[in-house]
Amino acid sequence: MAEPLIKVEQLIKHYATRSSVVKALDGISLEVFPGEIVAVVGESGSGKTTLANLILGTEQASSGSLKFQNQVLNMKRPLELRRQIQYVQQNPMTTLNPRRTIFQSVRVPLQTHRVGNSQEQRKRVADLLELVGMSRDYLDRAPSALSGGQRQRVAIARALAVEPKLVVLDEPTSALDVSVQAKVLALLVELQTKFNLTYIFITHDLSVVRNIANRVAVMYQGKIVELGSTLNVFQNPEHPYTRMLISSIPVISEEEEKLKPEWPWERNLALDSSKKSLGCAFAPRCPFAETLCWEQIPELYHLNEHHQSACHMISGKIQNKLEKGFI
Amino acid sequence: MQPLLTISNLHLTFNLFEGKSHILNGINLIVGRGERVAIVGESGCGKTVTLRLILGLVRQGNMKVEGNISFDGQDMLYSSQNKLRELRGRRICPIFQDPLVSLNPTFTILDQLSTVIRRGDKVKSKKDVYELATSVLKQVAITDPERVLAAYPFQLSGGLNQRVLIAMALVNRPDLILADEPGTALDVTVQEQTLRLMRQLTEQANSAVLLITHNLGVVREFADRVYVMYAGNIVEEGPTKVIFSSPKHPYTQALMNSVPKLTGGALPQGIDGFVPDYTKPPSGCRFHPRCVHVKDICKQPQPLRDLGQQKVACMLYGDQHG
Repeated sequence: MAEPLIKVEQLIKHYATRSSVVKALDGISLEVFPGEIVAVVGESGSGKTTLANLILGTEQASSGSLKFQNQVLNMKRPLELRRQIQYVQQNPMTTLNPRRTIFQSVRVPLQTHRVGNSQEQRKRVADLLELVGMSRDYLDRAPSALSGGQRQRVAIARALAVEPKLVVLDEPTSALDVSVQAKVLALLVELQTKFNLTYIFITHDLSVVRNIANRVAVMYQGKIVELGSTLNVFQNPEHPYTRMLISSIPVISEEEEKLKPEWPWERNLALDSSKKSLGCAFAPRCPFAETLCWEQIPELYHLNEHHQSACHMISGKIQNKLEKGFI
Repeated sequence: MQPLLTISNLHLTFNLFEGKSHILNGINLIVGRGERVAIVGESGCGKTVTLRLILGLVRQGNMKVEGNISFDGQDMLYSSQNKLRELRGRRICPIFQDPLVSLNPTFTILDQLSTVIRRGDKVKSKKDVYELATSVLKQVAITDPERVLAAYPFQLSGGLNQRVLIAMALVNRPDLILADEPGTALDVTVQEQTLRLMRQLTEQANSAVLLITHNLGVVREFADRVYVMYAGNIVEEGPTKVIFSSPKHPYTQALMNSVPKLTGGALPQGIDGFVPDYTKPPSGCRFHPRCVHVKDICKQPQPLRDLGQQKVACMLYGDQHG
């Protein structure tokens, strides 16, 4: 198997508050291989963005190791390493400096990494805009003249300016309308194949994940609870949280409805989710939870070569409970 | 039977520095008693402003409204604010998008909920208000209403706040609930729970719901009937089942093709071009500059054509015999 591009081992990031400790990341292990699109999904507060911040070097991990092609990724890292990892952020309205023209914004990474003189840079930025499907007329416009989708295209152009290997995309399309989102997704996939890029795609939209990712990591409260190839995870979701996530996607056809796993919503509403669990973090919201779940933290185990899950209920047990009506 | 809410030929224009902005271009809409109706469209198509017009919340000097909005026989556009205040919170209740913004951070949930309860005519004494507040929170599946009532909004999760808002909207058993993107600010699992609750409780109270959303999946799960809106026009309307199984208007079709599917396969397609500038909207069908079937006739206004089960504003379905 190829060398992983990113190797995360037992990564921990805790934030101390006055009265307690927030465990944003609580022992994450993950490998990302070159040319892959790995989706990181989970609800708000599950630690997705913290993971992105650590990879990008805006924060320092509490413990654990984070490596990019066997080089350690700390907050302090050589310029060359910084060039390899670029970032597209969520909100197209705040991603561009309103006082800068499009050219000035996209030029920043070229200046940082000392690529070309200003004439060459202008040419490069124009080429980049063309690459993301925008005309060079936009070079000297302000971001305020652009729509959300266009701004996100500019942000993508800026991320690709210095030819990175890895792009971290933090909810790149969630602020866009569906008709625009579809176009931006298509662009991202096209660029990924063209330049053999590796994406870490952070999102909460599972139907997007289904369509573009090779592998999925499902996070819940700072832990990876399920990890596997997209097909495996969507066809045989193992962890109850993944089941719940997939069954809550609002879909637009009967055909898709049939693909959603069964989930006992009525039982779920009646649960008191404010209880504290010493074991599995999902236990307070899990209608299947047993005594063991409340006491012992489940570890990730392999279901097969391409599929891991962290749940005490081994394969089939949840399905049994559903069929027998929770006896 | 007389419908609960009737909007007929509603036009809305704002006088702006850039010129006249034609936001709504002849909206016709009906909500029957106990019916769940959805308006679906992308951002900037005029969904929210329609809802605010119904509530009488848009009253600016630079705007011009034509047409009619009537709620249970009473005019909503030209009535005095006092008269509207009689209705709001009693017979028409809104649920807005972001639960944290809709609740006042400086008052406890009990303070805010009891204000709404006192607007209804049923209970007045402090004890009764508290009892009603507790029971309505239990209805929205809050397991510990006492804690929630004593809390400030920032102490509760987004899902709990949203449930409090639903409780507020339902407590006076209104005839009509106006829901503007409920759940959009929440996580999918919480959104699903919220929608299920809303559906169940409005059915019990026999309240009608006008739901506004950009999420087609939510519409399919929630609404009986749907209006598809584009750039201030209703382009298609009909029962949810019919619209989703055979969308007719090119915009509706393109919108459905833009949604990423759970079945996987091909990537969604999206729509080329932009939502038009409202100060110089395209003549005729406002979708024609982006439409793949465009013809010369599209530059003339396209009325809604009745196709039996659904209505479509598109020339493709003009001549049934041709």
